Parts: sequence; C-alpha cells; structure tokens
Amino acid sequence: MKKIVVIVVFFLAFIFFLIGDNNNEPLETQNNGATMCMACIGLE
Amino acid sequence: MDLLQSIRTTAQWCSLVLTNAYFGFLRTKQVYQGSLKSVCIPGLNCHSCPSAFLSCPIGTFQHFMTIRKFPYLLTAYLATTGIMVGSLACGWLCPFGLIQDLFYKIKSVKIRLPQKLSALRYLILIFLVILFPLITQETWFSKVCPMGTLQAAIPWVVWNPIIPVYGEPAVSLSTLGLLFIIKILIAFSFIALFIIAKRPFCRLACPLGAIFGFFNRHSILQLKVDPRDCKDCQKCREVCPVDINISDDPGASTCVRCFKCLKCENVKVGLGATATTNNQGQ
Repeated sequence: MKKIVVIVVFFLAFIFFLIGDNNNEPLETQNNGATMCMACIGLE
Repeated sequence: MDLLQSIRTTAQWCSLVLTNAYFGFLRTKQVYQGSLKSVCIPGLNCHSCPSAFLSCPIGTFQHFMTIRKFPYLLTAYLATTGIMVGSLACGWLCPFGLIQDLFYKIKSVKIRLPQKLSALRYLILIFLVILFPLITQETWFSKVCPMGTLQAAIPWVVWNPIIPVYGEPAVSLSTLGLLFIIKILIAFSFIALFIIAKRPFCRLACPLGAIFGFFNRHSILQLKVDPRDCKDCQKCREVCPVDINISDDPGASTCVRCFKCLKCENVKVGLGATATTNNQGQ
C-alpha cells in the first residue's frame, strides 16, 4: 500500500512537472517573487 | 547524536542566511528580481524581504490561486519533497522554524499547547491559501503572515527608501492602515507565544507544515518506534521541538523530522520502512 502511494505521488509529480514547465510557471513564479507584495507589507 | 543536531543547526542557519543574502537592495532599493526567484524555498521565507533570493511557496501558491491557475510545478515540488522526506524541511531548512527555536530558548514560564489544535493549519491552508484567494483574488494568508511582517512589512516601512528608477518612496505611508496594525499585532502575539510554547506557528498556523505533514505517514523517510519497548519515560517529548511523544505516533503530522528523539534508543530512523505505532490508522 505504502509503495503504491509513493509511486502514484512520484508519477503525478512527474506529470505535473511537465505541465507546469509547459505552462511557463517558473517565469510566473519569478515575476510574482520579483514584485513587492502589498499584502506582505500590510498596505491597503 | 550531537553531531547530527550540530549539522541540523548549521543547515538551519545556512538556509536562513543564504536565502536572504541579496544585498543589491542597498543599491536598487528594490527586491531581488533575478531568475532565482523562480525557485521556492521549502520553508517559510517572505519573498518581499529586501534581501530574499528565493520565492515563498505559500506566497506563490496564493498568487496562482488569485490568477485562477493551478500551480502544477509548485505542487509537484512540494509533493516530491513531502513523499521523500515528509516535513524534514520544516526541521532542517525553514527560516521561521529556526526563529521560533531561538525564541523558545529565552528563559520564561513554558506552556504546552493541545495537539488537537494542529487541525487549524488545515483550515488556514484551505481557506486563507486556497479558497479566499481563489474567490476574492487577494492573497489572504500574506495579509496576516507574521514572517511577512518581520521580513517585509517592518523593514520596508521603517526604511522606506526612494526607489532610484521611479524617484518615489517604496511605500506610500498613506496606504498604511488597519491591516498594517493587525499584521503587527499578530506578529508580536506570535513572538510572545514563541517564548512560552514550542514552535506554536508550526503547530497551529503554518499551511506549508500542513502540506508537508500530510505526507509524514507515507514518506520514504520514516521514524520507527516499537511501542512494546517504550517505557513512557517522556524523554522524546522533552527534547522534541514540537512537543510530541513520538512513540504515540511516529507518523504524526506535526513532527518536523529533527531527529532529536533519536536520543531514545527505542526510536530509529529508516528508509521506506513502515512506522510502528500505537494508534495506526487514526
């Protein structure tokens, strides 16, 4: 059972990595991280 | 044994220092905007901190919710980390975890928090990180995150430099209001709690800990305890940074895999072995 869970998670993660990379998510993450977050600073 | 804890402490400090080692902000008066920001640290570290090199996974997750896209890459990253080592990153790499550990060293009255309160983390994850940002398109957890207050809100508001590129101050002080006051109150309430209780934020409020903790029972890295050999001496609970008795549940979702409980010869760490527990399946 435990091995099945591990294999399923790795398989889904691999698929998600491919989809995320194809969707240009690293650039989206970078653009978000490079912006000063108003909520983090507590601005309204 | 002590060598392992020395390595862990070194890893925690390296994580805190290296993820916040961008000093270009002194020149640009802005956050780091390079390619490393496409990578998330497997811990809580605000990417709006002037010196932050990496992105915050919870901040990034919320951002994807606000633009109504599923964060496939981040989910894969967190799930892969979780299924391999559970919440080891919480105990070894999370900068906020280190801050809580340091505050708890201050001599004071100490209290024990009920373990059942850890369910709050899942409510925070579901509502503040997923549902509210998805519905309102605002990052709700960031509005109250104490790490964001310490790393971003206080430094930017106190410093408030003129950004050379725009010729304007980084923070418009007219936009400071009730939210900022609430953030400050939450952060300092938590700091007071850090002194008297073991890692209260990790156990009560951390959505990232909730994600990693979810994998603790099924991760490849496991703690193993034979309950028949347990003398219930509570040694493991005394040294545990999250105040759990590991023999009760080696797969506990609040465990941060710090391995301090290896002081007890009955506790062992293993790869891929199923943990033995008194209350399996609970």
